[in-house]
Amino acid sequence: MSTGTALLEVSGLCVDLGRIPVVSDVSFTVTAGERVGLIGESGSGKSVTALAVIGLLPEGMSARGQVRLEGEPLFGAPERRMSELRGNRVTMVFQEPMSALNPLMRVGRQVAEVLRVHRGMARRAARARVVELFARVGLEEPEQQLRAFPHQLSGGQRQRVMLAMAIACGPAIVLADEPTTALDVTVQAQVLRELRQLVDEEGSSLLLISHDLAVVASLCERLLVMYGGRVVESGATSELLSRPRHPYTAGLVATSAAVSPDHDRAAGPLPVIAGTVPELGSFPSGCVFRGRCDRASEVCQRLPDLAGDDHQVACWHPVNPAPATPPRAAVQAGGPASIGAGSAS
Amino acid sequence: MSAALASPLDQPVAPSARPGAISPERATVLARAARNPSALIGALVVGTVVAAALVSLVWTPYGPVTLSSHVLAGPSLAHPLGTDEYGRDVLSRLMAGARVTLYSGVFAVVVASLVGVPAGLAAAELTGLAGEGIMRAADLLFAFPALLAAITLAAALGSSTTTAMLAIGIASVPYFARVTRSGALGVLSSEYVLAARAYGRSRTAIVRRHVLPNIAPLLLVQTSLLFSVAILAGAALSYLGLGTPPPSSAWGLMLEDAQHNFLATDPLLSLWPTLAIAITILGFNLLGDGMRDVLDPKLRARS
Amino acid sequence: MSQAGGVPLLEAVDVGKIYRSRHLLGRPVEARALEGVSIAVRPGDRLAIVGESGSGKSTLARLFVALEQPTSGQVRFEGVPVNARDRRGLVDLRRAVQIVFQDPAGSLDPRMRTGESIAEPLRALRVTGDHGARVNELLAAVGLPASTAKRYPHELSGGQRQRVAIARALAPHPRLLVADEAVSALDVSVRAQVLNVIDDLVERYGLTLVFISHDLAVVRHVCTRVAVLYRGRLVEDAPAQQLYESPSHPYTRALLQAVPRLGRPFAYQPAATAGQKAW
Repeated sequence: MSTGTALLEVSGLCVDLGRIPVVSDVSFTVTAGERVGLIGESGSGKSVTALAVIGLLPEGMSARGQVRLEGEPLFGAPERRMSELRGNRVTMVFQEPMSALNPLMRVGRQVAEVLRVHRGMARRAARARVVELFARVGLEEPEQQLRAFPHQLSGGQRQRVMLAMAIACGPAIVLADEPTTALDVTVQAQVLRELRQLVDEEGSSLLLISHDLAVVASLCERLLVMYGGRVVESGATSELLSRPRHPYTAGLVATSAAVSPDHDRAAGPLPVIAGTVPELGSFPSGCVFRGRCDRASEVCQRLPDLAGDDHQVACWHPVNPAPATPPRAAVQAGGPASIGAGSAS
Repeated sequence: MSAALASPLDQPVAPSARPGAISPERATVLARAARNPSALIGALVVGTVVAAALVSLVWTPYGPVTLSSHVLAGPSLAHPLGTDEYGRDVLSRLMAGARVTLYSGVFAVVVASLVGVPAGLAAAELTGLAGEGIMRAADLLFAFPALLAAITLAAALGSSTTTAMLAIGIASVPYFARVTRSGALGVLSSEYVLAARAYGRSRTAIVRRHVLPNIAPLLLVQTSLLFSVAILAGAALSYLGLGTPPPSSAWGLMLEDAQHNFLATDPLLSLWPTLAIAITILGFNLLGDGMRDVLDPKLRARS
Repeated sequence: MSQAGGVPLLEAVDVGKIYRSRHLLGRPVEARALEGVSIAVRPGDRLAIVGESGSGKSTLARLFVALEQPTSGQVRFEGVPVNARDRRGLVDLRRAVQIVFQDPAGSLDPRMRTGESIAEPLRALRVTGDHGARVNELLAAVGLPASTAKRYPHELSGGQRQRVAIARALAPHPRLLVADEAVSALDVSVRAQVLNVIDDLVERYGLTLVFISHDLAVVRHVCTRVAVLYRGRLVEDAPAQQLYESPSHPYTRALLQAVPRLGRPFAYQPAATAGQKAW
């Protein structure tokens, strides 16, 4: 349930690996209780964006711009403050739970640690709460699972432990980076359902990151599409799916719709986006997508702004042009009618 | 129907620009080596020692065994590092000694790798008792004190650099065996080896075409590190009089002579061989570490 | 396109596979990967073998390409049981049946240029002819420029590497291609590209295809028949149309239900205010 107050505000986020830009000028807002999907392929900068928000960029990467969580600026905050916030107000679920969990510590203890550090809970109280959490995330026999080591659990169970850790302190926002990509299809469905339920129950916001449009679309109210380190389109999920405006989004939608159990073979080869994602450091100037876009023209050598009202797109030749609204109008942030519209860059 | 394939690649495949990628291409490896201080300094030191050894084959300022009347002279223009008690030029002796030093390293490494690498490969290929057995035999060798073995061998076969290095080489077999085995196991469990089996490659062919090239960097690093171990051991043994007997210019021998007889009166005489030994060992170590970083950053211990 | 009668090209007959691991001093541990599985692959088939982790599908793939031997039952190639000791028979099998693996990064030797990797099966199986020309031919067939031959795997993207792996599998002119989760490690949009490549090649060279996957969405486009494995057992084997429209086994139904689809949000209403949102 979105209430309209901006919870996470990212403006002008840029992340560089040395001199190579990985994320350029990304701005978006997540309001309280909102579920936002961040979709992009490998190399789009989506994971790096999340890592920048939570302050866990790998060595060699530097970020600038501004990130605000509940009004508090995170960039420039001392590490001590960031440690207080991580696991507490902003939590992250990673793709590979085996590497995110300590293999030498029982899972119950790992989750309890989060509670003890951030809530100052005593051991017994924390243990009781962990049992509660395990039950909520759908782990059978939670009392027993407390004592398990990560390698004794299945992939789905480990991911549920990660979920438990992520919501243990009732965070303001959960960042989930490809949380189900490594899981079997049936397990993925369950874990996504649980994630949705937990986030709703806690009233937390969710930033779900994935390369799989179907996954993100089934869970999120709003989508941000990233390509080449930039946001190229953003808007309500139903809007983007039915009337995508950026050629890349349109391609993604077409492809995702085709690779589906309901697809008809007779329809011919699967629609694809021709070409491949350019390598880091070799992005073309101007619109990064222009090398693969059949609508590209000379003007695309200039970088298009992200513009629009609720439904924003950064393109000189959008696929479904917006009705009546003036193309480059400045947008007010967080107005009552718009669901968390970001600021035009 | 092939419309979807019409534009498979719009852009030419770019050469390595991925962060953290390793390029086996020689040009890029050299570029990385040039930026790694360990590798550079190590290469410099090792290069100097090798150069000195090679040059000494044809020329030294004075003969290493040429006696003269300038006995125990301090550093001067004529003798930059002075002379010893027989009037022999120290610099020339050091250069000749470099030959002994390198020879000991090479011999030990050759012995260790000729036995260790096949043993490691065999241990990786043979699962079960046979493979384990080989590694336990290697462990046994590991436990054996190398210097003690050298002394025994010297007693049996007479002192020479060769017998000393034979002992060191044998004692170093386990290093190569272990590194080879773990590297080979890693490669053998990879999917490209599985693919090779699927298109009918024999086991020997797989070892030849896939295992050895992929563990070569590991072995190269190990070689450099083993060099420094062997050199130190060689110096120790010649210090103990178990290497080539005098008038050999082995650095250990030079040190023993100077330290035993002239430490108080001419301390510099002891300093030169010490520095030579220490700097050479340091050089090989740095080179090994640097190569490890350059050839495969994943080998570096995670911080 | 598949022949009704005739000898199956590749067949698993009541196949079982048990993995035993012995600890030196402990009790041996048994894991039953497959039990009583019988599947016939006829020339021209496009068969999907679908299952999740623990279903035994990868094990079955390995049995099909004789990378492992069944502990019970038989794998038959053109009617003749595959025997590890029969060298001639194995070579014939390997020339006719090739496999593409899941991990595009791991299935290519990082120290070999892709051109060399592609030519490796030709060397291994002693195929005569101009290897260089064949490599170029294969690269063109999978839609990669000839210059790719000089590149190393790490210089290519995941999709490109997988195409190289497919080119390599096709090098010895096989009749049957096994794709073991060949697109699972790729981004969704790249998957479509590679699926198109596979589809086109199967069509063009008249290949028989066995496509192994955990995802029913992926196999829909390329396969005409689907076999479903659950915990080592075959639970359903039906023509694709029939399976997708009216699956008979409950597990198949669960699998179909679980695939995320565009425009279909997860059926979930929060307990309290449902709100005006469709989501």
